[in-house]
Amino acid sequence: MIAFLAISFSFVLFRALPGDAVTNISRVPNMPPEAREAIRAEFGLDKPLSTQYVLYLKELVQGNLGLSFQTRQPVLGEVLERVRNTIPMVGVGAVVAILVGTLIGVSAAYRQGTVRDRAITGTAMVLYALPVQWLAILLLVAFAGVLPTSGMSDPYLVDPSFWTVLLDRLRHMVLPSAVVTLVIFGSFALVVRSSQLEALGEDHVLTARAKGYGNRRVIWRESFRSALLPLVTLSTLTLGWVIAGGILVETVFSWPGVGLATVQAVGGRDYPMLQGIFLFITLSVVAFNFLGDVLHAVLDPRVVE
Amino acid sequence: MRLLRRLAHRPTIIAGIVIVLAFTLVAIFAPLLEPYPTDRPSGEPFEPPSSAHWLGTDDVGVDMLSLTIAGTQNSMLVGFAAAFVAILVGGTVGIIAGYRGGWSETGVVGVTDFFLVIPGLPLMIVLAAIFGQSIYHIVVVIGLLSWMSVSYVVRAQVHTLKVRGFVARSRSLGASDSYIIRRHILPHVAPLLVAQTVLAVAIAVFFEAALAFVGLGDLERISWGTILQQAFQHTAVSAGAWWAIVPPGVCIALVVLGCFLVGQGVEEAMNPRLGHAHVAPRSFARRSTWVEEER
Repeated sequence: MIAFLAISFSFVLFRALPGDAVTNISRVPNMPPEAREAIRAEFGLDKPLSTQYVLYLKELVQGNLGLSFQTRQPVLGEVLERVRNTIPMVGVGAVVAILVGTLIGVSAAYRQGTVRDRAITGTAMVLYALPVQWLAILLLVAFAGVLPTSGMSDPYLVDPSFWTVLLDRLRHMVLPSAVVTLVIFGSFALVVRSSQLEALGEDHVLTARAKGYGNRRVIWRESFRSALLPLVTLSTLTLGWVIAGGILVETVFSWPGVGLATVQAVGGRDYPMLQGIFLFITLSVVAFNFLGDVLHAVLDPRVVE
Repeated sequence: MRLLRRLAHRPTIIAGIVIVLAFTLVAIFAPLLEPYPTDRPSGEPFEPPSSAHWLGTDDVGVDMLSLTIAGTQNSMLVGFAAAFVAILVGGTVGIIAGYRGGWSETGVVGVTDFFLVIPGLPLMIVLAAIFGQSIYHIVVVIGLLSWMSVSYVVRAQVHTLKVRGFVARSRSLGASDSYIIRRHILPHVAPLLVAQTVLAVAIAVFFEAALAFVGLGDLERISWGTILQQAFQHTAVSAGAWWAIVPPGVCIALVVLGCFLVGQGVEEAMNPRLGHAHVAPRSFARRSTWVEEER
């Protein structure tokens, strides 16, 4: 339902954009009006909006997102290729952030009120407040020369083996992934800390204490089990966001992913591409939200009732 | 008043208020504070910080301190104006939905959920591209895409207020809906609105910088976002001119942090339970480690 709304919404949104492909191509001086109309017809822009909408839905079901105005390639393929580039970079960053954030959040909650807790909370808040692009540029300045700072692979590798290619990719990935980790790790540390604090105060944790269970068991098996729900929600939200969230990071590091494609498509007035990216991002967010709901129901059966 | 007194006891809130207030004052008096003009060079390109140029100069020799101060004005303007739009929309929608209930509430919840799913930054980029690059468009775009959390929080609060005794009493005395909302509901959600406004300012400042960075900022005006974007585009990185990069980022981070501290503090002061929930586990954690050491 929401997916359908999103699809329709994006249709309306992108029809509202000023100018179409033709205005861009027909900047050629002395272009005859017939040629202009021919291009318009080629892209199907001469038909009424309602017909365009029906066509759009029909083609969408078949996985056809149209042709990119810029490259004249099918949008779906272009978007999928960009997604393939984005997922490892942002995915690694996000997973590291979730793991580290969880561990640190739990340890801060355990030592609530101590110097360590304050240091962790403070650092997490500061990292949370840093502008993404700024952090990325600073890392760029700091590590220029040590690590590759632009693009995804080295174009000058001669006849590389599989392992050199992999190593090259990983080296290119270090900085952008690190930025992603730093940027989202703060929110995980803070959320895990506060939900863990709340869970430590629950009756079943008290009971476990009274039974004489050790610290490790109380913290991880009793308390963390209750604190898991907000973590799962935040994780699925973040992972949905991840595909879009690389925009600033990818711009700084010229990483050829979805985010950079968005910026390029805006610059080139490439509406089919923009629409394809937007749809893809929205659907992935919806999908991850759904996954979050399902996981929630599995972890906490009360939700279903 | 009691709330204010409770706020005064929290050092983090005071720190937050001081930060936000300081930047607001700088924004208001920006033209008086700029040591050099921002529209023409006053030194060599990429001059490092010195006694003449405290923060150095940018790629054409414009004083960075002046630029940062001028940027404060527009960034804070965007922040407050967009927060105002968000609060106006979110607050109205939240109060009406929470108070009226029924189908209007169902509708509002649906719309809110829908907007929450739509990824914010990509949509902002698309909308900013449609509307064109003006500071007013940026304000509207950011404002209209950040009202959802406000309406969410306000609606929940109004829900609990609606069933309280004093509301029922004044209704039975024949008070109209608008009177109840003005006299009973608004004063009770006001602190919440303040907290949400401050948080919205932070979000708006953040997004302004992001939009400017992908090239959708107002080209006529200097903001922290455009300074960063210019520095990145104009070889500040390869010139190693960190002084052209650091100041706007520090300002953004400080404002966002200050707003978070204030917003979080107000929310905690309103809900004292948040501050106490941990008392029991802490003593437990301490004692059990102590017992283990004893052994």
